[in-house]
Amino acid sequence: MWVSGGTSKERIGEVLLKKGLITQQQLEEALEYQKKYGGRLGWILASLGYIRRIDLFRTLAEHLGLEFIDDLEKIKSLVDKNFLMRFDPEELARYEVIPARQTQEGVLLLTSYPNSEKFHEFVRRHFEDKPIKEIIITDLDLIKTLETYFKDHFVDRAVHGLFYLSPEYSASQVFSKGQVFFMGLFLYGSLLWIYYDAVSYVITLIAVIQVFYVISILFKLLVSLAGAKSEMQQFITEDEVKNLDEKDLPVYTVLVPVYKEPEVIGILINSLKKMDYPQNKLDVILLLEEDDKETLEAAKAQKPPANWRFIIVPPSLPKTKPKACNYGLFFARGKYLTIYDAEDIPEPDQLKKAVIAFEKGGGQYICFQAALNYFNKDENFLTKMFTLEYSYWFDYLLPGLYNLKLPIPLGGTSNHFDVEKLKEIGAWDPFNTTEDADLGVRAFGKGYKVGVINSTTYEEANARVRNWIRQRSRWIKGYMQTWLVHARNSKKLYKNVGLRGFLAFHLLIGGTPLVFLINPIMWLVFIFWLVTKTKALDIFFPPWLLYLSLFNLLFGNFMGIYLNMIAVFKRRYYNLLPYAFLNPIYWMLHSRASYKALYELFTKPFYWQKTQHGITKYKPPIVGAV
Amino acid sequence: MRPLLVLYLLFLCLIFLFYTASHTLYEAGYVHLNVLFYAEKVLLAKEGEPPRLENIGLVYPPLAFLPFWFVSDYLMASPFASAITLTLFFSFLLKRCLSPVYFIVVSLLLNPLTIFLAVYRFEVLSFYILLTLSVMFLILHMEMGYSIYLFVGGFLLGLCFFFDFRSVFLIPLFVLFIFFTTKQAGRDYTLALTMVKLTPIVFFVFIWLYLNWVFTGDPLTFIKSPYSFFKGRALGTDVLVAKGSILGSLKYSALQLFYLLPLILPYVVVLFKLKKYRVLYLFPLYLLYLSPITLMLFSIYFSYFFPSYYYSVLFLAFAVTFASSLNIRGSKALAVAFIVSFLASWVLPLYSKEENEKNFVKFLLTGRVKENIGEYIKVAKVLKDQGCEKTLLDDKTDFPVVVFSQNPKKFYLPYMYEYYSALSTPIAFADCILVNKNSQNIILDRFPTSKMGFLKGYMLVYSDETYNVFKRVR
Repeated sequence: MWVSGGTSKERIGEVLLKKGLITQQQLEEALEYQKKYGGRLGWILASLGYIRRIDLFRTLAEHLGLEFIDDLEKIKSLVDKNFLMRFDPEELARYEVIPARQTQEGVLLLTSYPNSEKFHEFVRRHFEDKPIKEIIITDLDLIKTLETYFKDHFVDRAVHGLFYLSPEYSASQVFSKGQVFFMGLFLYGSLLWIYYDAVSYVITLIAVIQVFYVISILFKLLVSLAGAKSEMQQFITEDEVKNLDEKDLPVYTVLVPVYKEPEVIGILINSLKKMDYPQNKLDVILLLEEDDKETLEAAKAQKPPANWRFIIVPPSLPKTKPKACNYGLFFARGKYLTIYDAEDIPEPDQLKKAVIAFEKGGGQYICFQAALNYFNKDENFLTKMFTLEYSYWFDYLLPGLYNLKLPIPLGGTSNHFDVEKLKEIGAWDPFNTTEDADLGVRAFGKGYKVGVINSTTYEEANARVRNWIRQRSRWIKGYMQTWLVHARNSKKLYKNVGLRGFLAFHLLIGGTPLVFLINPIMWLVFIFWLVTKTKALDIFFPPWLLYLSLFNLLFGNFMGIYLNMIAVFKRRYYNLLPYAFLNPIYWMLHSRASYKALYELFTKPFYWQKTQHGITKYKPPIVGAV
Repeated sequence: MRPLLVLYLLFLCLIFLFYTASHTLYEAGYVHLNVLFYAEKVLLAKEGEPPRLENIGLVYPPLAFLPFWFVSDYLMASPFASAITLTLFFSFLLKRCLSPVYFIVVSLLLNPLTIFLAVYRFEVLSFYILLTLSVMFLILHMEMGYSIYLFVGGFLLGLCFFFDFRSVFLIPLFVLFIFFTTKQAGRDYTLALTMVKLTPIVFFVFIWLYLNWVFTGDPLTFIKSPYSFFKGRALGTDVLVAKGSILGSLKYSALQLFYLLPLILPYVVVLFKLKKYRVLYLFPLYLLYLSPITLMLFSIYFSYFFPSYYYSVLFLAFAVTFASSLNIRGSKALAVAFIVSFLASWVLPLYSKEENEKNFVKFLLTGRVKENIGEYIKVAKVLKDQGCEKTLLDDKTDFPVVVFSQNPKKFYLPYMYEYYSALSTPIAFADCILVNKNSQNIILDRFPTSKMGFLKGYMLVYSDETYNVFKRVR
């Protein structure tokens, strides 16, 4: 009969010290750390980078009197596939246990944390009356072993998880039958109308566009004013952060999906090392693609501590960031989770603020979005405009949506999730190229709240036009997808989010791409008239429509510029303010990207236009001194 | 009581008060001609031939027409808009500090000159209130640093332009204020603040130039036109002397301030109190506080000023707002000043050169007023009784007739394409012609004999002290 090993009398710190794996000073430091933040000493030493992962688990095995195996082939040879297949792979990943085989003597369990609460819970649930034998393997070997047997399952769930859960919310079907029918009907009706009375058709079309413009302007104004009020109150105060009991902090998972970004990976590793959060409670998962050896090598070269895990996402289509995140989510240990891009520099107290926000939210919140901004704002015209845009978006518009209790389209990174709730709603849609925006709307529709926290993550603004257009076209395509997905469930959406949320969704998610698509047409009409002074257009602009159009042309553009000007004040980017006047040029770039997005929506809807990072000439700022 | 309820009740009280005054005066045969002017322009814009927005002329600040567009009863338009403006103003004060300034706020609201502006000149009242708030929001931004205050303040200043073109005169003042308050904070900040504060007004000026250009072919029509806002002022000779002279303008301003002194006493008291409450940036604060005087000075310099007592309302609005926002309270001197000002506002306007305010206050005191619309109503009735289908007239002077006829389609008016054809061969177009004998107008210029009752092809069917009505001979 198998029996579990017994714990040695020597403490793990002493064992490590005796083996010469750590110094006395490191031990004392780790003990201090433990006193302050709680947690297991071995893991603290590993998270601080004082011992290697393999040394930790080997010593742990010795300490517990258990066998340790670090040979993957040997591990696999221990596994009885038929027995293993009886278990839910996601549960195994969550509990970090592999039931390898069952014999008359008992059950053989491979695990990385044999004496953890989680492990005991798993044993109680499945093998309460049975004798068990534990073998320690490293956490990375555990993942690799699970992948060996369940790769297809994980990939399938990462790709189709949302579809299986709620197919109506999946963007895998770009247009529903109803939408295709409606488009056909619209085109047919338009052709008929044009055939019989082209003038009234054009007038009606322009009128609809102009009314839409007016509503959009007013909506933006209203939301911005509501957002500006947030300047007057700090959602999370510095005192709240100071008074946080750090021993109670939960494990926080940080997902870092990367692809071909060897030049910037070091930035994030350094930033996360300096986070004001106990390192032993940080669970960092670097999600890499199989064909991306260079980023993996670059990450390894940084020698990150043991709380970092590199997970290779198996190749499958669509090759998107949300799919990688879904994959990483299976292995997340944290109660909360956030996503950072490789070049991100979050403010050090961001995770703490998120934890406080979740506590203050009282279980109603699924996510808190931190603000994003750029460290290379002064690099060129594009980065300046981008910074202005983001400052307005994250400092005024999103807080405004939050204050008005409207759905919030999440930003690409620095969104902090409650892991259980995230899984409950099906996580990210891998077919959506702005999976974050979609998730925000979906979460809101499911009755969860999405909030914003007063913390910033600094990123690298796109400094090249082509690269910017690629990135922006992907975002706009994602907005189109998100709108199509939720618009085909209009009744449900209305029921879930109410009239205000419903209108806000259409104006923000549907309206944003639409405005960019329409703008160049209206501008061309105006410029044509300005240059030629032709009377030919008069029939399409009866007086009332002319006034409305003029109002939008003059007041709408003014508002767009003026609202953007105000964005500089919160962050004191005063030197950027004159650039607000150049917004029309920036909007033209948006329109260019929108047409690319529209084209791709029909030709390659799930294609992930990769943004190249690490092209800035600016050095990233020092964390905490931003 | 909940603040929203207080505001709602205040709004109802104000609208009741203003409309009652407006209607009672109408019953007594009096309406301020400005009201009829706006009403006619909006009538033409909505129901003219063709009904085009540019019929409002593009020469007067556009927001002056707005309530007449939405409120069909021209007697109600100004009271309605004024009640909204004053309620918003009151809500602003309510948020700051209400109790100590309660009585002064009431004294401002019940000041006969405020009521006069509310009943007839809502655009002037709105301009005063918006200007005051714009200034105060800038100060609040300086004190608290919230960008929303700067944004709102800048936008309100921009709106001021659409109520009164003279708002542009205050631009240098704001530039100086921002310069002096931010010179320590660096050039970028100064520039940013200036731009946010002034972009709306500059942008709106360009919008107006552009619209003038699009619709009239000349971006400066609103300045050059004979109907221009700037040319509509009846100027006294003493003001004309001060035109273009800094010294003359200063002297004339000082004289005006002297005349206004009893009315603006609270403003003066607050001026002296500022020092006690804001020592840190006193000089720039004074600059802003002097906005009403600066506006007066520039208006005199450019000859866009008409002496009136209702100008004191701007000073009072500044005094009330500064007193409540900067916590200048508990001052006996201030209380006395408000009482003196309130009492003076019932007396001084009786000696005003501005006939309308004089008539209005006189009416409030005696219940009697010199009627001014009877003749127009009578002529409109004559045109109707004579069965005139198309009447040729010049609405530069006779716009009230169009309003009382209530059907602009029955007139040939200068804005219409065929007006000048009708003027050259009236017999082919108009079956009636209305001639105003007492003022210079196009009809009289074209047909000088009409003054004596002779017009070829037409027969005189009505004549009184001011008007001759001719009907085409069949």
